[in-house]
Amino acid sequence: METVGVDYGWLAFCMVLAGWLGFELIGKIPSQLHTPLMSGTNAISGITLVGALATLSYATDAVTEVLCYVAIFFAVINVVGGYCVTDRMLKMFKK
Amino acid sequence: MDALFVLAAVLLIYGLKLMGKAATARKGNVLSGAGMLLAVATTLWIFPPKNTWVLVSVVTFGSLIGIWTAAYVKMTAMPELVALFNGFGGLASLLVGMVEGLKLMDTSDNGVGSNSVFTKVAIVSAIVIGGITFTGSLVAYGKLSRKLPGGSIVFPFQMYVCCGLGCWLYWWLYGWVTSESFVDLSSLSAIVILSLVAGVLFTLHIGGGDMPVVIALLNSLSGVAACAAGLISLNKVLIVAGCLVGTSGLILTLIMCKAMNRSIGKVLLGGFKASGTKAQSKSFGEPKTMSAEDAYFPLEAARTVAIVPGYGLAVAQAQHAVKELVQKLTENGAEVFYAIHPVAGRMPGHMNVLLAEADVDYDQLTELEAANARFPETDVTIVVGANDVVNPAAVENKNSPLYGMPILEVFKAKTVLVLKRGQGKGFSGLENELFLKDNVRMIYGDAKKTLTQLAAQFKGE
Repeated sequence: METVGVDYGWLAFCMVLAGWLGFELIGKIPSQLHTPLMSGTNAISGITLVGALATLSYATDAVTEVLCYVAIFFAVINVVGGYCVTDRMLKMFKK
Repeated sequence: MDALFVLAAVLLIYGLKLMGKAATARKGNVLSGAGMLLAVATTLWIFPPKNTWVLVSVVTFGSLIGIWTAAYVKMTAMPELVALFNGFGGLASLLVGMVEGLKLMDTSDNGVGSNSVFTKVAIVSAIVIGGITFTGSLVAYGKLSRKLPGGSIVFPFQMYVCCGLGCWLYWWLYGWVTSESFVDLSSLSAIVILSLVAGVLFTLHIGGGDMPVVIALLNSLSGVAACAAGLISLNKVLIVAGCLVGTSGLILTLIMCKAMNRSIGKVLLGGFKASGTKAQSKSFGEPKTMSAEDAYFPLEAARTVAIVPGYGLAVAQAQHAVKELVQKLTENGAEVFYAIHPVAGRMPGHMNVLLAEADVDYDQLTELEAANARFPETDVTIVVGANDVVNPAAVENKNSPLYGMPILEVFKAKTVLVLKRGQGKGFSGLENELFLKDNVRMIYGDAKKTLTQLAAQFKGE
């Protein structure tokens, strides 16, 4: 989309910081929460849905359009199912 | 609009932080979900869909499947569900990469500087990592749900096949990324197919016991795939969230490896060197058995009782039966606690979920170190379907492959009752010296039946 050159340094900076954040956030978590955590981060990884939606808007022909819809379909299952099942588990923990 | 994406990223990160504590975890999950929703809504605002109705129906259909599965899946089947969802995420990244790759071929829409090496690397990363995540997760799902044989699946020259495949894939990737011209359909499809095959080979040889580690690793990979998909179109929220999942998944993998006393390298090589450490079972004696009827007497007299649940409890679906027995013991005046090993169940932390489902009081759950401190003063310890995590070889026998693994030191209790389905071995394939100790009695049979039987005897009073 963008015609301007990519600022690679800035990009690398963002990635390193975000990655580090992941390390810090998860490092000290008690083992009893590992299963819900795994399913929760799994739901987050469905964020690729955003990429699929963006790609769909400039899909050029029928083939790419269909591929985009398939991607959206599976990403939605990943996201919605992931958040719901995590919530179901954590709900039980509360009691 | 960038501000909205920043807000979405903040919600995702803060939500993940809150998920690290039991008390705030549910709120954290909701916040993270809100962040996701915001990211999606903002994307739709920037890129309005051409055909709204098709999109709405696709999204609704996918959501319904997700909600339905999440609501009705059994808690014991959680590991395979996570694997399956994870695979779907990988597939989505693969498809996004493919579409972007196809667009590069479309000569009518070029000249936007998108044919750069950077974009191409991002595209092939999304395709390859997404593909490996997809089929790798499907194999993990198959193994965990027993649709595939659970053990390590090995075929002749597997190592060479894997290496050959890797080189071949690399050859295509190198050719594609470095080529000046627009790329043809054949190389794109070759890369897609080879990535899918690589995912299968990656997991096929890894045994069922190591699957939790593999799922965690694949989870991390699906984050990396999402990040790669974000790099194609320089979508910031995708990049940040992808990196976040990528590293948090990785650290989770390492924590798990530590709790199971496995190195990540050994897990990944899996079946390749399965037959190294077998021949060390010396003359192994006969464990002493006991009937459920006789087990009543030590239990009736016990003041402190520890329950050590393991994989076998999950298989026998005996979590409710355990809870019933604990209730009877408490009514009888005994103090009862559950000793939970970090990797008890079918994935780390799984046992906590199963016991929470059976409404077990959260305060009764004791973690490894606290439990080990209490065993010497425990009258009776009931081991339900746990094996390797209570094997004293981990502290006593320097030659054992388990040596060094943190275990629950149940052998320190006055009496240990081991509920076991049969005389099989644990995941490690090792004999358990615990069963031969003087203070240990075996009760063979279905754990659920035995537990119900034990509870029923208390009723008889």
